[in-house]
Amino acid sequence: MSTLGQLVISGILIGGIYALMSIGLTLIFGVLRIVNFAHGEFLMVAMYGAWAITRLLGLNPYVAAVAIVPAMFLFGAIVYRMIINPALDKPHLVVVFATMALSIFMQNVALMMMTADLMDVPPIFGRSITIGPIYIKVELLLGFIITILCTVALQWMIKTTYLGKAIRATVQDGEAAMLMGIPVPRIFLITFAGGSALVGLAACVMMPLFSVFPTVGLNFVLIAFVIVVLGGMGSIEGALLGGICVGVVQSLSSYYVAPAFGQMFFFVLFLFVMIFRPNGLLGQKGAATIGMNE
Amino acid sequence: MLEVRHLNAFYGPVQVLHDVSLSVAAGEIVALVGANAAGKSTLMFTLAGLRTTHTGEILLDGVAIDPFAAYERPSRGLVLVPERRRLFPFMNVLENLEVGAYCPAARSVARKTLDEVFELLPVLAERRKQVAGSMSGGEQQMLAIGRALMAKPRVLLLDEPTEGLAPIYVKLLFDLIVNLRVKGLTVLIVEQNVHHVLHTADRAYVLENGHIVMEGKGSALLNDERLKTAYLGL
Ligand SMILES: Nc1ncnc2c1ncn2[C@@H]1O[C@H](COP(=O)(O)OP(=O)(O)OP(=O)(O)O)[C@@H](O)[C@H]1O
Ligand SMILES: [Mg+2]
Repeated sequence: MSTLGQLVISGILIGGIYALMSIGLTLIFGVLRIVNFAHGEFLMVAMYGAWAITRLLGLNPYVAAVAIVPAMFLFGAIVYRMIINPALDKPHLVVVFATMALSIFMQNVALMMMTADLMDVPPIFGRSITIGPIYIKVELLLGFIITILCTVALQWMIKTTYLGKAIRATVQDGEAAMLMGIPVPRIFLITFAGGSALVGLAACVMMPLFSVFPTVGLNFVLIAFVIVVLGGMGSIEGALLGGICVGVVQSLSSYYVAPAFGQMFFFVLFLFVMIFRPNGLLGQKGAATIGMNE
Repeated sequence: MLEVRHLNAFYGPVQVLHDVSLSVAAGEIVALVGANAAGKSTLMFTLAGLRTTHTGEILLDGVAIDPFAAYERPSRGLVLVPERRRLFPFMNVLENLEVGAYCPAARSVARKTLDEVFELLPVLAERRKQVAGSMSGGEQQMLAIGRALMAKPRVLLLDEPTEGLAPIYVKLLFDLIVNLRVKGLTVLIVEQNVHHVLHTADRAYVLENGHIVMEGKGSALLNDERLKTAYLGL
């Protein structure tokens, strides 16, 4: 029983971190309706950044977020300007191939600069918290709390601020938004950069838990895609729920079946959800977007 | 106030407007009428900076507004209420109005403007929390105009505001337009409801296949034989 409890708790916590890594993807999809296939490489770059700050400056990855989050915002803005924006009014496949090319390019630059070695940071918290028979890794708990705070803050921003309303207006009717004076290209840029900044935050939260290497993004982006589709593309709460589902399934199947099958099981879960709820757990039919509900 | 000179507008290679020139003086209500597919909405969207490419000049207070993107025009005083209202359907009345006041100058006085809009359109005040998509057609049209007023326009472009409205709303709407003029607004209005609009407007232009074919005082056009047969169906 306590093993089961342990697995579920760990699964929920790691799932929260997976969710954080996926929110940027779902946000960008929800507003721009594009999939950034270089999302995993954004994570990789930000993880190297967090690693460098930790190793070279002797700080820790959480503190590194202060620099990494704005740096990733800027990086996202530059990528938007140079690659995404020029492709937006072209056929949809152009963005797909452009971001795929960016992904391969970034992997190779990382390979050249950092080699294929796994890099990690020293442990930050000496020991786990114990609640009864259950052990909780502090890094996981902290990551989970950051995810919850982030989700709540993002929802609040979209619901109440002028920027949030402009984002929703843009999603609901882009032309009408422009007629009302909303600079839609700017909203797209801010959203893409904001989504990238969120990946930066996720990278800082993940660095204490995982090693970084040039193709680390591939492992995680697959999970992120599953989470985003599971949750209903464009749904932020959905990403949180999807992340937790994936985390729990992975945790249970790794223990009871075999670690190697962990991924297989959440893809099976994914297939079932797609069969019975094709718009995702919280997605609405035909409304694969942010703010397309009251 | 608003002046259009030798405007040719295109959707890709297809030309829809041909050498259109018109002007709207400050405080005037000017109507634009014409059969379906004449290019009325095309003209409105072109003035607002969307959809088409064009040659010719669009001047607002003597300044060319062509270089400005669609989203920069409201802050220069020009706002379009497009065909079919185009509200933000999942946002409530208040949010739609707030978004109307997006440009900085309008936002800084949004609270005051909101009171004015509520006074002008009391139905919106009663329903401020209702989701726009769930309102009746007439209410939606009032909201679309209210939202545009939140931007503090000097020139308001209205594209078929009475489309699909019950007669009571049609009357309300024309009263509102007269009311707006009293408040100093300049209005260019596209209407299928030719009889009604020519009574209200100071002047009117008739658009046919992308050409301006007639212009004159509203009352004069009402009695024009050619217009009667072509558009009033008399
Ligand atoms: N996006 C577009 N691309 C290509 N052609 C278009 C486009 N929009 C409109 N047109 C064409 O331009 C012409 C004028 O259309 P427009 O909508 O301006 O007419 P209208 O006078 O507003 O008609 P209605 O009274 O039906 O609203 C039509 O022949 C229409 O088919
Ligand atoms: Mg039209």
